[in-house]
Amino acid sequence: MKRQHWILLCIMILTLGVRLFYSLSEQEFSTGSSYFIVRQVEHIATTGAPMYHDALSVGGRIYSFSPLYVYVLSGFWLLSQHFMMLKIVSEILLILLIPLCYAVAYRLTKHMTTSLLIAAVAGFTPFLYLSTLNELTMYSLALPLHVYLIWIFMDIKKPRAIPMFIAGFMVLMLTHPSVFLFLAAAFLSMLLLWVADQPLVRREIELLAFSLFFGIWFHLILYKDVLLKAGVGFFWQNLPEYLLRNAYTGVNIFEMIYLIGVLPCLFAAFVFYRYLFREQGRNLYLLISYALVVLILLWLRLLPANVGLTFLSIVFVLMSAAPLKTLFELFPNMKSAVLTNLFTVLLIVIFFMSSLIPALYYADTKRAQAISPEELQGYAWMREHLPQDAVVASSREEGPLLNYYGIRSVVDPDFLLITDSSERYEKIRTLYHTTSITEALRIMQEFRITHILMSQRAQREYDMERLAYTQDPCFKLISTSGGYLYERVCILEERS
Amino acid sequence: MKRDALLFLLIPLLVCLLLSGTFIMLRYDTRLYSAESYHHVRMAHLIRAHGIPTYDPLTGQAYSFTPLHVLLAILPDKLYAFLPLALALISLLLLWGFSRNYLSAHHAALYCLLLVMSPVFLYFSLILSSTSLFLTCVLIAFFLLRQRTPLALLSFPLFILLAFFPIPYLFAMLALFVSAHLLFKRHRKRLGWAAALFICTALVFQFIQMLYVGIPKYDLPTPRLFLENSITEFGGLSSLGFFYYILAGIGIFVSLRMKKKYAWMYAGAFLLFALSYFYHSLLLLAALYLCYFVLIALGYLFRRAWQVSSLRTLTLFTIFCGSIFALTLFINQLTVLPPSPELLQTSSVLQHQQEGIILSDLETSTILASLTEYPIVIDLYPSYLMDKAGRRERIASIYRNFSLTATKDHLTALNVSYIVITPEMKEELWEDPDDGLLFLLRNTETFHRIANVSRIEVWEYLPVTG
Repeated sequence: MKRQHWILLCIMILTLGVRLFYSLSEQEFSTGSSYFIVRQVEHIATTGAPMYHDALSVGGRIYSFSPLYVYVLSGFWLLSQHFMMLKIVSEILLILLIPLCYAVAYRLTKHMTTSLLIAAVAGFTPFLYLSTLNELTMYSLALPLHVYLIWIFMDIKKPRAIPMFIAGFMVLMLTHPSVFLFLAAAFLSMLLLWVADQPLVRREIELLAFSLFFGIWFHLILYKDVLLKAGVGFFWQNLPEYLLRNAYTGVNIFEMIYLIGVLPCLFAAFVFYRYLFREQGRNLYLLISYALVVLILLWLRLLPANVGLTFLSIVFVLMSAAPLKTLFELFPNMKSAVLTNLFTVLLIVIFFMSSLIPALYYADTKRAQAISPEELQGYAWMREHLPQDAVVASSREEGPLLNYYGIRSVVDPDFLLITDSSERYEKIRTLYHTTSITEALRIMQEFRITHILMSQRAQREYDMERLAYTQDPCFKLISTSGGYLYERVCILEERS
Repeated sequence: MKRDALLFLLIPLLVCLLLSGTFIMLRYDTRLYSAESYHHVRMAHLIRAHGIPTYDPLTGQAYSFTPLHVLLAILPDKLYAFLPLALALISLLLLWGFSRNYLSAHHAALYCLLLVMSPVFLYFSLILSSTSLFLTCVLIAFFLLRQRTPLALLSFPLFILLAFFPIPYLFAMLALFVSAHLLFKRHRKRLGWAAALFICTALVFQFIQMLYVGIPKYDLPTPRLFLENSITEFGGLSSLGFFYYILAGIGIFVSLRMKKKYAWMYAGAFLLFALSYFYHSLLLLAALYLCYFVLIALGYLFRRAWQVSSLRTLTLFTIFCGSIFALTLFINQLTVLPPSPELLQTSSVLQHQQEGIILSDLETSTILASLTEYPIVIDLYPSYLMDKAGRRERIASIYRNFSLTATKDHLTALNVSYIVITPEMKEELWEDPDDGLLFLLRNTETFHRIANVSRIEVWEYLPVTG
């Protein structure tokens, strides 16, 4: 093995070590949606098929999603049925980003130091810690696949590249619908090449044409029911209007710089300026297009802010390769060798540390969000003491958690295939905010809610301190572990 | 050569006949497809019985004239199911004739086949609609206009007839004149005369009609509704599949190299597609152009020498599968298109009751008005209805309200006697079987259930009892 490969392996081990340190220091996951994945994994492990119908939601739920990620996890779940196994596999999948980023950077620059630095920074991209650490998310597999496709597409002229691309494309297609982000970026890069009067590679266009049609057809079949039911709302995941305003909110430039990191943003801006207006860089056009597509989608509010920023942070790091190489090439021209080395080391340290420090900060934040033992006690208590037909109102994040413990919930983060999602979510918000006992009872009866959970997560989501009507004899406090759990003991009867 | 061309023509004709014919025979003698057909049949019966009315007694709004009602009034009822198919076949023949001027026999046949395989064309070959008749008349009129002088004169009465269609069709006609003006190298003078004649007649007729019935108020769709109605995969019926739109986009891009030659196509496609936003049925006319662009795209993909030939095969196979998938989805939707046999049973139950105003969803109301001849609160076409917004608000309040007093107020104001609840309403309007009106229906004595035919519930409103 060559020296650079050893270094790369060290970077991978170091990154994995840091991520696992934070991830495994907590027994539970940091997000409720991870428990949805766990339920799917358990279901696959027992039945061999994902759970597309879920009875633990009012009126039953039908899910639609690309299943590869949960299949991968369930394969390992068979080996050890412990959350730790899922966490390790998920982190290993994400760590694959590092060699792939190295490969892309090397293909762009043919400069080893730059490529290694890019690989190291990719492993410590701050926003990646906030969006993927200590949780089960399909992006753990989708992100490396995106970078893999970028890498293959940059050298599509090679004879083996086409089957490799198609294989990667199929795997990504089976993992996450974000495959269209790649297609949009690739088509935009073709357009940029055309505008720049550069020759278009025919096999690139042919490959993209096939990928586009096949990708659309596959997703039309996979999401047939969702498309028929949610219509155009599918593109916004059928999110309620209130959440849509928040999740898809436009990200301002300062916020973006803060979350992605100053240096990657600075370098990306330089690449935009230099390669869009002054120089031509065939491979860089693909990365520029990626960034442009994500930025446009964020601006048009067609992409959730957290997803957009996750992609942007990786693309900006990859784009940094070109200016970094230029900087590295400047140093040998200096008169003193000491100065050259000093500047090289300084650049590496500044670039790396500017990512590492915020990454560790976000890792700590994410770890603090993990489900606490008190909360777990609360769910366990509910599982033992609540009747089988109990329906608990909670925050969205707690929905999958309640389901994981066999308790029926009213809301969860997935709104696809929910009729009138806006109204449902608005009513649940009203249930938490209202001061009227009649209104609260009416909403509870409408959704057959028997209990209401007032936890810290609910306080955060609904932006309130306490329920206004719990002093009323219609509500009885039955548990305080992991939050206040109230039981409804009255029935509202309408009179003419 | 001519015989070969005719053989090619047989393919789309047979496909159309087989597809639409099968669906017609599935419901023949019992049910027509869609509420729109029932609306036209009711109007035709009204004309047959009382001549052309100025007022629709069952919806309480002014009657707007359309030539389809007169045609249906003349024809025997038995032919209603076959009329859309006959119009579709005539249109197909004429389109084939038109396209033969610019395309080879097999390309013209492929164009017709693409059209036949599009959900929007199939849909209009099954339902009674002014759009199908309008399309056939337009094609005949333009066909005659391009013939030698004595025959060309016959087109003028048709252009006059076209002026009697509802207002959205008049705008579509103007778009077609623009497109034809760009296309025709010869006969431009004739076209000008035809357009002048059409515009004058339309203006005079619309002016007179407005004096009698007032100005129609069409509902403006939202962009979201437009998209959902126009794309088959989103559940649209008179729609085109996703792949058709993509291919049409490719076709437009490819044809830009000869933009002068295709100027008439761009104008027609753009204007008609834009108009279909405001009046969705016009998508059928836009589809004539879009399918031509699809043909161009397919030709380009077929003929282009691909560097990786296996990718070409895979791409074309995927396109074929995608188009078939859209067609399958459409057929799936078609089979559940109202009225269901249960709704027919419900209508016969209602017919045994005393006459009274029916409240239900728009489609069911339109169908029940035609089958029972009882008045309804509102139907699918309330363009001339006074206080349309007020009625809609009251209806929404009735469905959602938990308060019996408020519900009774609204029901009395609308003079409702019967409430028909369909399974689709239960799915779309209420989350729960004990929500809003459903709760009141079950838990008060103000409502009496007359029938429950396979989940279609008929309730009588008894204002005094409650």
